[in-house]
Amino acid sequence: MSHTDWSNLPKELIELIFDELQHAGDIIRFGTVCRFWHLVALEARQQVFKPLRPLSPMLLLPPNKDDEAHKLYDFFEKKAYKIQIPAMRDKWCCSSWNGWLITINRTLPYEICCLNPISGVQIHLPPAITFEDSPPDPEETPIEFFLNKVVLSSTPSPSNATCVIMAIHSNYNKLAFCKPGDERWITLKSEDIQYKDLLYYKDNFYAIGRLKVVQCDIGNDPRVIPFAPLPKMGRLEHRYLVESSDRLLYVLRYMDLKDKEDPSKLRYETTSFKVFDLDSDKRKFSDRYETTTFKVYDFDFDKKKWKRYP
Amino acid sequence: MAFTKKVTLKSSDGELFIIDRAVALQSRTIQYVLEDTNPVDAIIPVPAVDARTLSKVLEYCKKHLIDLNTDFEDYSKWDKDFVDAEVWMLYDLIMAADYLHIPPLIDLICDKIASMFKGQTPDKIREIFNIDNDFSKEEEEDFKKKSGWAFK
Repeated sequence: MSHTDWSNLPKELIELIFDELQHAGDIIRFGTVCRFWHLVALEARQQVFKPLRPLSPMLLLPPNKDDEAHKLYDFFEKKAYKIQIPAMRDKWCCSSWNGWLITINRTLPYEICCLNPISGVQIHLPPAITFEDSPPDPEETPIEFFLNKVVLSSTPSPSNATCVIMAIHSNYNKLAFCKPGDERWITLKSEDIQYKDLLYYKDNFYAIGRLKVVQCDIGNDPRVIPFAPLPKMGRLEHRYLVESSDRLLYVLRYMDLKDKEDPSKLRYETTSFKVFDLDSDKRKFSDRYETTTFKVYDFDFDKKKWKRYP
Repeated sequence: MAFTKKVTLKSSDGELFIIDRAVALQSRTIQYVLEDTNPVDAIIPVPAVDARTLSKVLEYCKKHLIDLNTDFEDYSKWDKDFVDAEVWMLYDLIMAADYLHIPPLIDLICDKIASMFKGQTPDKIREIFNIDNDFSKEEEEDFKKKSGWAFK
């Protein structure tokens, strides 16, 4: 019994339903049900100022050598879809942020783009040659190594003047930023170099320096401001800044040689994690962060299973 | 004794519902009517909602008024059962919740409807929700060409 025609539902209600969808596939299919819903989906996509909602994560896998198609691995359905992304041709994907890929072109002037692989939307950023430390000769260092990590403050769009893009770049891993429509990247003044990780957290960018976490000041005199000293740790670790349940966490991933008999193979594996919690008032990292809401998983591609780290 | 005060609502098909004022106040539409006119023992007409739907909406309002202290899990179980209804009922409910302006009920139903879209093909969604396909063959082909992965 369905005497009701759902396409007659007021637009505001359809928008609210659309806002509840959590899977990229559902979002796309929603827009192909009827013209009216198509319009709602289209308009919602353009409203970049809406707060981001968490979508179910998917992994984008690179194409095989003989096949131009990428694969999209869906954790929810546990299957991989082939996806054609024509805009990825001749480009290297150096970072990803909330469903957007940050790509760099392999030829001069090394154009940089934010690309949404699902919608196909591309936002052009200033090319890599506009960095103060522009890419070195590709014979020396391949362009694939130029951008280390790129983080956005909000969804990029030509009309979103508040969107800031921050990048760890060059052989020195310096920090620089731009906005869509800018002509060049602006390097932050800093005594330190070799920044490790970058995060946008509560209206500020934070980065991991050698001995401290810094905050990025992108005002008239763009520079880094020391924020909190880092706990001293051993070697052979990867360091990350992570946001979880509104907290800023500092995560260390310890590595060790996989094959101790033959160290020349240089194969490493993760051995353990340590998590620290930042007290933003005292600007100090606490001892080990204990929580049930933060867990670290490792994805095993062969078995298609997650393994939880203790 | 403001809390024991009663309010009478009249559905589109003429049925009267005598309820506590506090229950009625969960509807912002009725709240405005009460604030503006302050009708004493008057009947407030609800012309957009029939008796069957109105009684269901009031069931929700009563539950959410009385059980404010119930812990979260109990509450969500009740909500889940509440929206475990036929599609036409969900339609009537969301239209009523919209007319009466009860935001938590609107959110609850939107969440339920969105969950019914999960993993469904556009054809199946049209069938469930009785929606005509007003796209041309070419347009449909175009969707599949652009985002083919989502239609497999």
